[in-house]
Formats: sequence, structure tokens, C-alpha cells
Amino acid sequence: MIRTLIPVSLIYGFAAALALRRFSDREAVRASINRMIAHLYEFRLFIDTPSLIFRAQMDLLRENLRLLRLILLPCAMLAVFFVALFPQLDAWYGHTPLPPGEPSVITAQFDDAVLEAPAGIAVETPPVHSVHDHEVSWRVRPLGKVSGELRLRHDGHLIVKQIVVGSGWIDGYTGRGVGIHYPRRTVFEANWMVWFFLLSGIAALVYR
Amino acid sequence: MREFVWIVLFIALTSCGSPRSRANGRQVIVIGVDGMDPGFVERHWADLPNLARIRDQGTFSRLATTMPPQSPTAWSTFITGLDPAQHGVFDFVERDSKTGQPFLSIARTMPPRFHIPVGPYDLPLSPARVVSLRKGKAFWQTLEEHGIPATIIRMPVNYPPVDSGEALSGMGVPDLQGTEGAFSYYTDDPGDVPRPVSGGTIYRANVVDGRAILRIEGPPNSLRRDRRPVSAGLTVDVDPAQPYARLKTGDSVAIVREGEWSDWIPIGFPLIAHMASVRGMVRVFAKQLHPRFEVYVSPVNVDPESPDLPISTPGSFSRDIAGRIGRFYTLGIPEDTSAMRQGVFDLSEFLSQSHLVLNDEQKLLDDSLDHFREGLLFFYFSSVDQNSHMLWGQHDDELLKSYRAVDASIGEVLSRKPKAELMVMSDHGFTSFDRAVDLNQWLKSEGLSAKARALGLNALYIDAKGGERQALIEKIRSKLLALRDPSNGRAPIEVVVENHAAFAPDLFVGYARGYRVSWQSANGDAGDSVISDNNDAWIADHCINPADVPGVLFTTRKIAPAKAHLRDLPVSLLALFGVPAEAGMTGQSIYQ
Repeated sequence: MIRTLIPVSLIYGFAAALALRRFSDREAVRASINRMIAHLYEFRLFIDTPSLIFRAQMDLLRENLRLLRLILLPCAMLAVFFVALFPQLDAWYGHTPLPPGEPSVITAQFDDAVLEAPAGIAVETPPVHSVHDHEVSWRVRPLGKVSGELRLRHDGHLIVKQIVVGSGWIDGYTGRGVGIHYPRRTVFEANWMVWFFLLSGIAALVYR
Repeated sequence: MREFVWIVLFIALTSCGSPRSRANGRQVIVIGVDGMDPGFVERHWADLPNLARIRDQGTFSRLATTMPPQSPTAWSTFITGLDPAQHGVFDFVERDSKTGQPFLSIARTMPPRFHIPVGPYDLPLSPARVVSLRKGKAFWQTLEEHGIPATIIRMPVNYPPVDSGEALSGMGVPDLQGTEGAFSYYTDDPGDVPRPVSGGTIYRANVVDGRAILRIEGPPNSLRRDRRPVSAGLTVDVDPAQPYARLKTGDSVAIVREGEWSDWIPIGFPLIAHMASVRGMVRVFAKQLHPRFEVYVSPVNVDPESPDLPISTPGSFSRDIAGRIGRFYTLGIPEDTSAMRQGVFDLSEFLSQSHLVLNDEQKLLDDSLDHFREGLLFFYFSSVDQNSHMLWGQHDDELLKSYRAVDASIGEVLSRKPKAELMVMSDHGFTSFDRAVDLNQWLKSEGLSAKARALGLNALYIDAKGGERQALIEKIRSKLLALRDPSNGRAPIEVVVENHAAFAPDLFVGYARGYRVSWQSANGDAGDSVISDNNDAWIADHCINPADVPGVLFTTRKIAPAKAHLRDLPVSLLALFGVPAEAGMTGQSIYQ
């Protein structure tokens, strides 16, 4: 599953580069970057003149703000896109399916509910209420590599949520209001977002 | 250019491979059972069929131990083949010769050499280091140098682990607070006064709407100049009607029933908010949820999945194991005898915690056997020792369960590795601890407290040099040997041994069976009377005359041990692989 993070990140990077091309004034962006480089050169040239260095710093800060303004629209579009994708990406890359035999906790954000688990997943506790958070939780334990549907009945409504054990794709969208506590996963000991933004940044730079 | 590429490829390929093993498929397994007592074993052969089998087919004998017969000292001798005066570990706690202050004898944390102050912070530019205070070379380093692979699991006094083979540290690994294990106990019982106690702290819990937020104390903040301890919150939501509670901290959630243990709960302690943190893990015991709130939280163990202290070599070794078997106890002495001594645990609660430790040890052994191919495998069991301290002589049926569990594990080793040469050994035996001798009170009563002080479980320090020191040694020795217990006329002290090592205790006191140094004296303080009843839950010990508490030695090979001593074992293990002993090792191979 981690292997898919690479193409997903690259596609996001290409999309970012495309958005920057399409929705920003490229000439103005280039000119802004050139001015920033010029201000950086000023640091080296006028190292003995503090007043000039200070002025260069101010100019650099101003230029940064100008650049941000120039790329504001594509960045906002990308942010909306990322926020929409985030629950699913975090479910896939930030978590692992439940390990068989290990306990986990399911929490519903209601004062009370009835839980039905698929065969092969034992519900070990009665509903445990958090008066403070208006939540109810259960401890479950997968007895084998079984995935299926959790069914929660609350106030006459039925909520269905996929539960994934052993291997498979975790669904980050369905069953709103019901959380399954999947174990956290890291990619080479770092949060998946570190690699995601690193790879998409490289892709965007290559494609710009 | 082409040749250059081939040369680079050749060097890369030859240097990346693991060094070739010279064990030639030979397997040697050592099971170290801390505190396994030969007398207890002899009284229960019928219940210990695997040990009985080794006795019948191989060898069983007593194993002489070190003076003092303490675990850190004895295991250091097993590791190095050196006597205590050479390896320099005499106790859990020793006295700094310059300041007179006590310090933990196994390892010391050295702060970063370079750092820059930024506001309240002190940002390190170089890493902090943990250094071992044990001198001498570990015998498996010698094996590795001769191409014999070694896997060393939970070896005591191997913290930080020597950089050789694969190793997981044992006794000596602290909790995140830097102590030997500090529990936290939270109660809303108004009769329980919040206070620090030996081995932990009792806190007042404030339960509102079924919720209590427990502050779990972590390590001193190494990034702050004031080293203020960091803490993390554990939110406990108690169900209003049922004896269940939900536990939450950070990303971690668990549910426990009253009277039940949680699994390991990872917990993060922020050093700088959202930027730097230290990670550990705890187990929670819901002693009572209704009507009273009584919750025990274990010492914060180093998380083997993301260790912030050097508990294994290579560094990834603990992560690899945890990836296969799940999290496990990493604290050096994981059984919480302190909680029982302080009345937080009753006997059954202590036994349930001890059982969790034993389960972890059995999972670790199982995993070690899965991955062991050749060379040396050392594996350590702590449960017999810690349970003996709390059960010996009064709950022998329960203690026998620990012995039987270890015996079953030995049976597992025998059946899974039938070709392996197996050695089962212990560092010392056991005896009851009925009467406590307050050495510092005795020194006071003799008018010697200005020049001598007891600290630790067998040690006595003398603040004099040359002839005055020698005269004091003779005086103290003769007076201690003449001491009598007024309640029964017995001599509570059998031997007093002079130590000639520099920066070390001057005398070691060897008590008679049934006696030991008092708790106050062990802490460097003095109580009210010289000899008194031991009313503690800690009812047995081994820090006495070493001749009275030998360990055990079992070997699957028949040998004729005349008088085997701990110092003989590393020499013997080297000899099994045809490797000569290191200079300074004074033992003889038992396989000669």
C-alpha cells in the first residue's frame, strides 16, 4: 500500500504544477523569484554594511509576501483539493488495518447506540459511555483476518461502517460519527505527509 | 571507466554482506533464571520435569556466586568473567567517592557537550549519551570477534547494550523518569493522602461527570534549562452504570474493565509543544471504578517501537521484535514489587502483573527461538527472582507456578532446538528475610558513625585512609562478627570481607540466613533499633553470605563440576566455540 503513495504524491505534484501554471501570472512569479535571488545576493555583497543588509532583509520579506499573493489562488485551490482528499489518504497511509487478535476501540459520537459486529469480530465489552463527551465506545477483537460491516443503530437510524482486519483498504469517508481506532502507521519512521509533500514538491519542481 | 564501475560494484557487494559466521551450525543456548534456588528446585523435582530431565541426562550442580551476591554484581561477573573488584559493579546503588552522594551503579546519562540557550530552552547541538559503568569486555564481544554470532536477550547490566551482536537490554534499563521504576496510583479515597512513596507516587484523583484526567509524570525536560519534568494527560471516562472505563491519551484509546489490565498504551510527553516529544508506554490497572476510583498506572516504559533510550543493539532490534510480537516490558526490573510493598497491590494483583511480565518473556523467547540459527543465544527470566522476594516461604505454591512456567519454557527450548547445547544457570539462590540489621544504627551505637557509613545492601564505606582505615576495618569486622541478635542469640553476620578496589565500598557484610540489612540502612539512613523484625511485604532475599545462596547450573552435556563458579561460565562458553579466554578472566572452563 505504501508503494501507491509514490504515484499519488507525484500526481498531486503534477496537479500542483499545473494549477500554478494555469491560475497564476507566471511572468510575475518568475520576476518575483528573480528579485528574491537578487536580495539574497545583496547579503553577500554588502556583508560589511549592516544598513544595506537590513534593507535587503526587508525587501526579501516584502517580496515573499508578493509571491504569496501571486500564487494565492492556485494554493487555495490545492488546499481545498487536499482537504477533500485528506480523510481517505490518512486512512490509507496513516493507519494499518486491525491486527488479528489485538483489541481495538470503536467509538460512536452519540449518547447511546447498539453495535452489531460481523462474524469473526468479538465485541468484548458492553457500551462504555463517556458522559463528558456524549460518546459511547466498545472494545472489539478480531479473531481472524475478517473484514466486514459494522452496523450501529442509533435513534432509529442505521449506520454502516467497514471494518478492515489484516489487510485491505481502509474507508476514510463512510460511517460518519463512528470511529474505528486503527493503529497508526509511519512510512520510514515519518508521517506519510512528510513523504507526500516531499515527493509532490519534487514533482511540481520538475514539471513547472 | 568501466573497470572503475566494476570495482565499485565489487566493493559494494562484498562490504554489504553480513560477516561470515564461523559457528559452523553450532548452537549454544543459555537460559539465565535470576534467583533460581537449588534447594527449591530439589524440593520440587516432580513439578519441574524438564529441569529433572537435564539433571538426569546432563548435569545439575550448585553454582557459587559473587561477594556481594547481588544481581548487578553477579551478572557483571557472568558477562565479563571478572571479579567485582575488576568490573566495578558492587550494588544497585553506590557512593560517589567525591561527593558522598549515592548513584545508580549500572549506567549514567551524560548531557550533550554542546548546547545553546534560547529563552527558557537549552537546545542541544550534540546528542546526550548513556554510558555503562561496568568495566571489562562482554564475552559475546569476544565471540563476535571470532565470527560467532550472538543474540543476547534481556541480559542484566547490559545497558546501554555493548555494540556487538544483537542484544536487548535487561536489568538497568530505567523508566522514562530515569528511575528503576516509578508507578503512579490515583485514588479519590480521602483516606489516601497524596504523597511520594518508595517506588512511586500516590495522587488524588478528581472525578467529575465520570471523567478523571490523570497527569502522568514523564522525564525531566532535557530541552529546558530548569529541567522541569514533563507530563501527559490520561483521560479516564468511567461508565456511569457499568464497571468499565475508556482510557485516552493522544491517539491512543483503550477500554478496561474493573480488575483488568490494559494493553500497552503509547504515550507522548511534549518537550516543546508540537515540535519535540519523548515517547513511552504504560499499562493501566483499573483496581476499582465504582464506588471508589482507584487506578494504577505502570512506570513509563521505553517504547520498543520507538525507543528514546538505547535499549537494543542494533538500534532497530527492539523495533523489529515489537513489530513481530507487539510491545513488551522494557523496564530493567519490570515486576512491580514496590506497588505491593506500598499496599497499592494485594497479592493477587501483584501476581497478575508478574504474570504479564512472564507472558512477555515467553513471547520474547518464542521469537528468539524462531530467529536463532547458530552461535550463542542468551535469554533471561526475571520472574522467579522477583516473585521469590514476595512469596518465598509463605506462598510457595504460587512461587512454584513461576518455576513451572520457566521449566515449561526450558522444555520448549529442548524440543525446538534439540541439537543445541543448553545451559540453565542462575546468579544466586534465595532465603527468607525475617530480621533486619540496621548497620548505620549499629555504627551509631558503637560511636563509629563519624567514620563509617552503610549504603546499599551489603556495603560499608569507611572515611579514613592508611593505618586508620585498616584499624577501623579490623575493629568493625571483629565487632560485627561478635554481634548477637538479642531475641534469639544468633549471630546475624557470618562474614565481613574487605574490598581492595579503589572508589568502591571498603567492606562487604555477609549476613546469616534469615537476616539482611534494614531498608533504612540500605538507603544510607539509620532507624531506631539495631535488629528488628522485617514487617515488609518483601519477605525473602539473597544479599547475605554468598556461601548460603548459591545459584543453579544445569547443562545438557555431562560434566564433572568440582566447584563451579559464575566466573567459570563465560570462559566455558568461549571454550565451547574453541575461543580462548580474555586476559583477566580468572575462571576455568567447566567443560574441561
